Amino acid sequence: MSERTRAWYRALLRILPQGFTRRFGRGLEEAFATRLAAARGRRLGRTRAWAAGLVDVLLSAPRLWLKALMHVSREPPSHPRIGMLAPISQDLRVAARTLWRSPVGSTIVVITLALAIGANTAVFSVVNGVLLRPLPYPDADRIYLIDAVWNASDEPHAPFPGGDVQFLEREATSFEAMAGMTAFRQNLLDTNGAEQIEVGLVTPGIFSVTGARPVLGRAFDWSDSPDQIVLSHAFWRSYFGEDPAVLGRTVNLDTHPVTIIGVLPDDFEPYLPEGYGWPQRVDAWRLPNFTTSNGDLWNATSLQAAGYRIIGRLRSGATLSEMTAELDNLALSRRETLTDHAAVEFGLAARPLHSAVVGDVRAVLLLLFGAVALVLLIACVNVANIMLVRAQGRRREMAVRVALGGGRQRIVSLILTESALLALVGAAGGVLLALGGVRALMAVAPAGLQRLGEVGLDGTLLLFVGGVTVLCTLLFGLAPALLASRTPPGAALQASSRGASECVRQRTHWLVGAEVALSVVLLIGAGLLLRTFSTLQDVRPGFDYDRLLTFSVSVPGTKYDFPEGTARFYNQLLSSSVEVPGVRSAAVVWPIPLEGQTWSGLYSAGAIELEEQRTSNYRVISAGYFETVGATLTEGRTFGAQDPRNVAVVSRSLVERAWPGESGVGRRVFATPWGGPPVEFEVIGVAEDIRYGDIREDPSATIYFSLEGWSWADWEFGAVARTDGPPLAAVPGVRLALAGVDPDVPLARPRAMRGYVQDLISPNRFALTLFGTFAGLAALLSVIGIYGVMSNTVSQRTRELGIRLAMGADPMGLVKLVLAQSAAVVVPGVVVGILAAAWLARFVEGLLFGVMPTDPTTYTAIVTLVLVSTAAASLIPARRAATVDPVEALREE
Amino acid sequence: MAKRMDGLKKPWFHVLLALAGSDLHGSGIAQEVERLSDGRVRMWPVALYGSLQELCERGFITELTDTDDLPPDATEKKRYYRIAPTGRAALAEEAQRMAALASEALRRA
Repeated sequence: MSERTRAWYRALLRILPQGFTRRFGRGLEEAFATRLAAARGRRLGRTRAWAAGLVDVLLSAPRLWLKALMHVSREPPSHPRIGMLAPISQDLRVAARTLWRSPVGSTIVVITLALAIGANTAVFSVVNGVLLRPLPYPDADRIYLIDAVWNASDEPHAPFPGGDVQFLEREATSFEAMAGMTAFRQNLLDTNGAEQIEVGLVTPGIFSVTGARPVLGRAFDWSDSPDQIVLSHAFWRSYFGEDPAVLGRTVNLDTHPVTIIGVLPDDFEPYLPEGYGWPQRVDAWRLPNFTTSNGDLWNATSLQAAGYRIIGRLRSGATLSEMTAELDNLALSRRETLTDHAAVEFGLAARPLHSAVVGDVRAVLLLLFGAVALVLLIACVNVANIMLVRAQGRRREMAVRVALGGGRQRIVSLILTESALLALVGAAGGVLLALGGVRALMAVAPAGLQRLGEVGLDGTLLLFVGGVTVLCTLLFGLAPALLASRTPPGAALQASSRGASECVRQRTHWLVGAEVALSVVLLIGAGLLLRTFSTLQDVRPGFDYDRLLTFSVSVPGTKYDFPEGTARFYNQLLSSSVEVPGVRSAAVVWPIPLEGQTWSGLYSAGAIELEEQRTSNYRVISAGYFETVGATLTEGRTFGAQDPRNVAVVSRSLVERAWPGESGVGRRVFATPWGGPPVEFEVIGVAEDIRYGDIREDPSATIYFSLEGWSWADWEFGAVARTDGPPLAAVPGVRLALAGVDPDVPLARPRAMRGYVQDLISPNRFALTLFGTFAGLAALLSVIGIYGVMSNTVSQRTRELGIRLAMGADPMGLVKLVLAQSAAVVVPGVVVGILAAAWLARFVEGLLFGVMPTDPTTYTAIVTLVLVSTAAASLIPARRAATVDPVEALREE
Repeated sequence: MAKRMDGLKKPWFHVLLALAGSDLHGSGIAQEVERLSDGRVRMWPVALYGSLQELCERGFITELTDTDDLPPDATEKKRYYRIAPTGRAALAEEAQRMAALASEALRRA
């Protein structure tokens, strides 16, 4: 165990009574060292060992403390040390006994703190795992993502053709290793059955960039052939049952034999940002330099064939400016030699892979972190309130201490120790809550976050919890401590003096007002997110996604020729699919809408000049597509069986851009559905726009090609089916239908279209769930705060209220009096809260959709909610005020 | 000494069992417990020493001092523990209780 680890563990042991650690400290450290050593080499071993070590300490702490304290109290009191700084252990003993004596108040404080600290710890552990910790590669900060920049297109991060990958790997000297990567889907056929898998096509540089070493066999290099594949650990487990005999085995990828030469480690996962078309997991890896029936993608230099992403490891010693300068030069030389590249003003841009991958998640996480920090603040305010009231009740005790010569310093230290003890117990509970909370959090997290979620307990997290604990202690302990120490002994000893209690009431009013303001901010944030979420539920992306089944299939080129054979296959599949009970209609489409894959290319309307070119979405569809998804044609018709290959349907926005105000039917467009020179198409129909990428984004221009002419082999195609009932219920039937057409072609990724929509809005749901929980917690705390303050006020004024009633005051009038007092606290808080919310709302703006950050409906609703709930909370003490028995009240003091 | 109706506390049983073989120091006990239970029982430091403290107080085990015959590999820094006769008796009693339970379970199964 290193010195640092030892120091961390020793710091953790401080939670335990000193007597225990002094006696066993060395043994404890040694035993923990043994545990850590045993955990070495296991997945997350250290994290787990630390978590268990923490739980061990926290679980044993109460018993050991109880023992230590009981042991002490049996001993005769030690010499009184008046006016001196006594050892902290003595303060601790006194504090523990004091807190023990008012168990209800202490329990409320501990629960409040545990909830707030737990929520903070849970959110922080995600922030820590995702934002702060580097990606799981050696020297991960030197790994950069390199993007192509095409000035002519609106695509900010474009992919590369294989030729560019080869060029950069050869020429870029500021990188010690580079990897080109892309993925596509193929059918794996073996004795265990046919399965569509994600195949990563990567250059061998991927293993140097990520530092991955195979756990079995070896990785490939350029001396190997693309027919030698390496498996991912997860696929090796799921398909081959971790059989080590797979090495050297030959399996079929789409009827083409390949040999397995290695298995990669479990944690090998190259990350690329969302929206890069990179699959969630890759099952097998192979070299990219082979040709498919669609042609040679690897040696293509045309940007039409761009599909590769590039990551690189910066050479140690190379500076960022050297790298940028070199990339700029390389981009220039590319433009000079290639017309394609010149046309789009080809450029190269690099950014750190970690921040690129974290991307949008960063904003969401920081927002939630801010929200949860506010909850902690509110919790501290509430606890400060309780402590103030308690300090008030103990004025006499403090006065006696001061009168007997107890220094103020000593009193401050005593009360701070009490606060620290409370914060510590709260933090311990919070950590336990957080351990469960993180799991709950990851369950609702968006997919991108789940992938990144390397969340666990480590030194940073412990440091955070320690910091929060100290902060809490100061936040809620300082005010009562100073108040108690400032009380003049004479005044405090006079039982009925009201000066100090008036002062306390003023302070608690302020605190509760602040609490209300903070919870208004959180509630308004939650309200805005809620409105966004309900708007998103209603967005129609241009087609009807309910009761729509999607799945994907790919056919091997060795068995089906392009395009007639494949078209025949798909038409057979469609006609037998509609025979399945519950399926109303079916169609082929690639890429599947909203699924995340994109396919786009250049087009020009009416001319072939390059500068006229713009990019458009491309899609291959079968004739029945529009009818099946419920999209409408505004002009012309869909494809017919007799149509030649070069007819197309285009989207309305393309017509509006190319021929504003005119009809699109009969026009000519040039497009390049599969690389090569532009092909001329005749427009036969115009379709209503569909939001293919994201339901939040405006639809972009789309060109539809006919399945009859463009259904490639060795390539995945999507299918959609309109069902009568739940979409997934139709899967077994469709699977049978597919087996009837070709038993070697598996049905892959069956999913309800609604599922893709849910995925798209999952960051919103995540933010809403958490923000809503935090806001609810905040609201609850401030309602409790209001109730506490008002009932305290009423009980302090019992005598006065009794006199008023005795003098004939109207009980209703007293209720109004108390409510007015509560309003005097709440209303300023609400006003401040609204102003703060309006100012802070810009931070949530990125997460809003269809609602303004200053949406009046939300603000009104929240203000009403806060006013009504705080009024309801004050009503209970108000009623008590009205039912005071004058005689009892006057007799009280 | 209070007798527990439901037998010894589980960690105590494991510690006594480990010490019944030979005198051991803290992490040695943890390792022995893990070995005897086929890795199923892991004693984490604070729980371990908490048990040791209580077992000492109850007189079930004793901490060896310099005057005692320490094992040959003992260093000054480590505290060694030895099972006391009462501890051995408690262990035996617990083992009998478990054996009775086990044979009853076998009879019924």
